[in-house]
Amino acid sequence: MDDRIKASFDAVHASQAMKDQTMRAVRQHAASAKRPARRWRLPAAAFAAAALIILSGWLWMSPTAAVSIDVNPSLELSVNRFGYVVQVQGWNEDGEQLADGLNIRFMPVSRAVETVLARQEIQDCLAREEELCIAVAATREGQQQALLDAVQQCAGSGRNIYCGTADYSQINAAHECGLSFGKYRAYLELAALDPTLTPRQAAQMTMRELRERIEQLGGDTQAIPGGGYGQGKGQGNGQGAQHGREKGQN
Amino acid sequence: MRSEQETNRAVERYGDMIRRLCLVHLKNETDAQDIFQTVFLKYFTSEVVFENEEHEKAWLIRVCLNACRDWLRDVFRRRTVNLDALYDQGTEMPQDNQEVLQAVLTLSAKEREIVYLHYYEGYTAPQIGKILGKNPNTVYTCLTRAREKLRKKLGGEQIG
Repeated sequence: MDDRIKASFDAVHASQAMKDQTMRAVRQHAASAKRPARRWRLPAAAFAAAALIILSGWLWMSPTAAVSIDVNPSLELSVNRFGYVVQVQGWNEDGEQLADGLNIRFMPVSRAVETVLARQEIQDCLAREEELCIAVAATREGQQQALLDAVQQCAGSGRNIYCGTADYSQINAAHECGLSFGKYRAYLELAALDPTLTPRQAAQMTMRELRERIEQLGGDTQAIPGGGYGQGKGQGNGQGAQHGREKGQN
Repeated sequence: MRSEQETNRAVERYGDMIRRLCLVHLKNETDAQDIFQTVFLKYFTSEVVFENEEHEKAWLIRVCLNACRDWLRDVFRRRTVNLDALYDQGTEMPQDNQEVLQAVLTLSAKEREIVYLHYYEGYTAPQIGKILGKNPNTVYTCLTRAREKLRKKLGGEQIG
């Protein structure tokens, strides 16, 4: 009987088709194992996606320009390469209070400036005939010009509002003095005439006070928006860029 | 991972054995083909170093039986023995062989495995116990019971 069982099992064979199909599967498996790129495709895609997210985040959050708004509240908006506000900082006590009350982060810069200008604190200052200077600075000239156009449009025909450009490389020096870069140029001008002036004192002075003090000491107000600020030009009050100069002459 | 040549050699050498083990457990050619492929793909990808041919053969038997059990564990595949597997072998199989195999396939799965390993592959009960991870006494008992059932089905001849 055991011979019968043996003979019966002996009659069972793996067909050639079965063997061939199996070897085909083996070869396919070997081929896929030899393709390391496929194995790394998913991790590589995940890495690329993560890198893209990080790069986008970095591009979005890195400021490439700034807008300094100074009356006495001294406020500075850091702007990314896409023209959106990524940071708002007050550079004196009034400026800090103003910054705390604003919700303009991630707003397009023109809307952000409009929002700032519409604030009651700013309107009160303008009503007191204070001068509001808006200075823009950017790492790229194209963005600087675009920002200047945008803030000039926001300023419109508002009284005593002056717009101008500044040197972006001076921002760090301005911040080290505890000043917005918009007020920094005025401070430098006045400090050259009055060496006793400290940045702290300048931070507490309004832009009009700074300008008037420079004029009293016979200085040049060209460096201040409204008086020129390099290539800047004034807006409003019907006097534009000549406003400072005219005042200085008077 | 082994080479294709090495795997091809194993398919040629052990293909019939794996096919018979599939017959013992599975119900049709399609299932057998799947398990056949699974076993040799496992062989191809395995890093096990075999001490000798016996070690290699016992490893393949274990892998095949485990693959069959896993396959059948799926309730959708669990069916009563219907001997389709025999018919898949074609009509070339002599009548006597078909009768014997039909009788073997009516045994329980455990008995079928042990009958095949003992009567065809020539393993002793302790060797079968080692391969299947069972007590040799259990194998003896199972073999005796299977032998009695086959004797009843196939006639009064003394078996093994």
